[in-house]
Amino acid sequence: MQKYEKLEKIGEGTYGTVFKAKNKETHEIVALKRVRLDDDDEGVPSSALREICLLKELKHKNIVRLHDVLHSEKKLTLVFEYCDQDLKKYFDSCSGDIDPETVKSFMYQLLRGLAFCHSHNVLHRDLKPQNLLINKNGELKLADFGLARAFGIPVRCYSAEVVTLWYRPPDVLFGAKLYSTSIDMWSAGCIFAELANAGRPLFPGNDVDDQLKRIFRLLGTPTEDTWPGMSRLPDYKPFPIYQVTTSLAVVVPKLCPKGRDLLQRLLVCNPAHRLSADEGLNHPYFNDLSSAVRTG
Amino acid sequence: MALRTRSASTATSQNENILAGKALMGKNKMATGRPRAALASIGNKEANIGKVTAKDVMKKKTLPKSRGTTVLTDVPKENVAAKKPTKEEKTLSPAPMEVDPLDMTEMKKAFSDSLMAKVEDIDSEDKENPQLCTEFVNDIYEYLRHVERKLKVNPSYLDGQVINARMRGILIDWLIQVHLRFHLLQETLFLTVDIIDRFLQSVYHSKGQDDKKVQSVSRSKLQLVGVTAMLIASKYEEMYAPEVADFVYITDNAYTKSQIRSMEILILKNLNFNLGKPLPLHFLRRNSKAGQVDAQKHTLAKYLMEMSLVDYDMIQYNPSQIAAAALCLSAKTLDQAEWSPTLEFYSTYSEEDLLPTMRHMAKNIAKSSTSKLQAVRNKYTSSKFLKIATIPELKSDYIQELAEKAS
Repeated sequence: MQKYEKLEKIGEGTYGTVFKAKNKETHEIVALKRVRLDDDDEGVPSSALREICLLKELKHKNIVRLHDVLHSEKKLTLVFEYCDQDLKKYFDSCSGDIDPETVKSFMYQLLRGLAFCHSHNVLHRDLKPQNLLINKNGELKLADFGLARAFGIPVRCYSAEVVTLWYRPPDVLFGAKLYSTSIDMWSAGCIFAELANAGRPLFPGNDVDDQLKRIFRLLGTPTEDTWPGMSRLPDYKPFPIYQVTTSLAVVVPKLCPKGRDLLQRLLVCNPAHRLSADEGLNHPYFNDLSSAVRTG
Repeated sequence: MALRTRSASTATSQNENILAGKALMGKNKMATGRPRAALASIGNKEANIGKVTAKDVMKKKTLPKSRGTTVLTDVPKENVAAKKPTKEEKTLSPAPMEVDPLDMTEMKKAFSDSLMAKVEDIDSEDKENPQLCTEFVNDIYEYLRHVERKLKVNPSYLDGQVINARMRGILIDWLIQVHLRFHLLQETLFLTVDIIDRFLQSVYHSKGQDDKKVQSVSRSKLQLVGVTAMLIASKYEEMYAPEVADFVYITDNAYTKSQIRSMEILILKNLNFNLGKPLPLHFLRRNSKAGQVDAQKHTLAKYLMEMSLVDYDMIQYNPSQIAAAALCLSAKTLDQAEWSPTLEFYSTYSEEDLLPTMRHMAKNIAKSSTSKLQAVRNKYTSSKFLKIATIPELKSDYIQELAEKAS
């Protein structure tokens, strides 16, 4: 522990406290996530175990880097690369306006990080602005893999209690337990809209019912035709048939037509028809992406 | 901990299962006729599997005291001869790191155009099914094959260790029974065994690097390694892992909770927290899809794979190879089916590649009725596993001939 000098508390993760700290030798700034291993409990929490194990494998510029794991009798300390802020704090600091180039750059980096996870057998399962870190070079990194897990194919039943409500896809809201990479793609869509609106959440529901209503009011209530099998999901219940009345142009006025098309393809209730991360990266919206972002 | 957070109803039934499992193990402690203490304290009789009654649960309190791990210390030394080191150096070397794990082109080049024409796109009809991840599936399997080479266990890692192949076999045979009683996922079992092997290997190879650390696992600690490996595997794979106390209980208090927690940290550290090893099961699912096999063939392949777990000599084969050989042998045993170009392509093994592994598996089947390790065979005689261990095809001339050719 003497290797690092604690500077300040940054926040609380899924498990344990996060500190900003400095490596005393190299002066490198890092983030330390501390996991207590108390005498009376179950040892290493499974969320910490999965996060460490998955992040050790996921080395990518758009995924937060786990440098090291320090262990003593009483605690584990995860040493992460330090990022200045998360996307939520970024929203707060930019007072209602993010330029279209930045929106495009962040979205591209989000999809690129996700494509890497998905091709390496990992679902994030808890994407939200708080879990996307932004550094001062404008690089975006996926973080907090406390709920993430490796998936087998076909994907087994996993806990349906995943993904923060506002970013949770309709299939999971209806209790689907079989899900796949599409779960992260819905969240990516919600975050895209939030980026385009400089931090206004797209579907800020109060509970599962309210969440589904908000989604269906915007996208139209799905039917067995548009989403075969929907009514057989464990927690399915009928909702009023809302017709699409609001165009996405009204919802995300600052987003260009190509961007709206990408958003439309991500926000698809039927998970089978939702765009994949790879397809998203090849969408025409990114045709004019600056080469610095593409190769950076 | 996880158990407590669940809804009341499922928590109760699950708890009952776990407790009942323990009681059952305790009850049948002497069923084998000779006391083999903790590692062998579970009744091996198939008739007992699944017959859990309230009475069994009640008997928990009268569980006879186990003699802990004495069986491991009682193993005669002659059994060290059970394995001979093979000099197949090429299987030892990890994959070169500069190889792009996602590059499928090399793999495709290995196939001539004419052969390629016979390979079906087995995912073409599944684009509608998000569970099958068709966009990423080939990338993922290529990546998994890269990782299995990287995390390969040295097939003679027990050379010179206190622990030998027989003790390893007894431990895993017992863990297979624990796994069944705890109602855990198949992945958890395979991961448990992989953790044990990689840990035992790491302990041996790190000898001398750090004087304060345990430098080899003593016989009396082998069972501790085993249950802790299963605890870790459960935390990684299961939605609700059993508690530390459940593992203390299953060893009949041979170890304390705090010993298990310390061992957990030691194992994770030695494995560098790397639990993402591909398992034979991951590859079998892909192969079974490519071969469009029925439940019987798939189950027989699972039986062959699980039987490989207790056999130290099978460590030389990669999980993808075990999975492919198991399915190939299963298909040939049940209806002389061909190993098609589609199967060859998706599994990346030709039938010829698989022959040594298949012979080994055939040998295990041929001697299964006389083996001392009966957990897998008993498990697969139940109807849940289609009574696959009892089918007459396993006594066929084909299996016998193949077994005789095993090296």
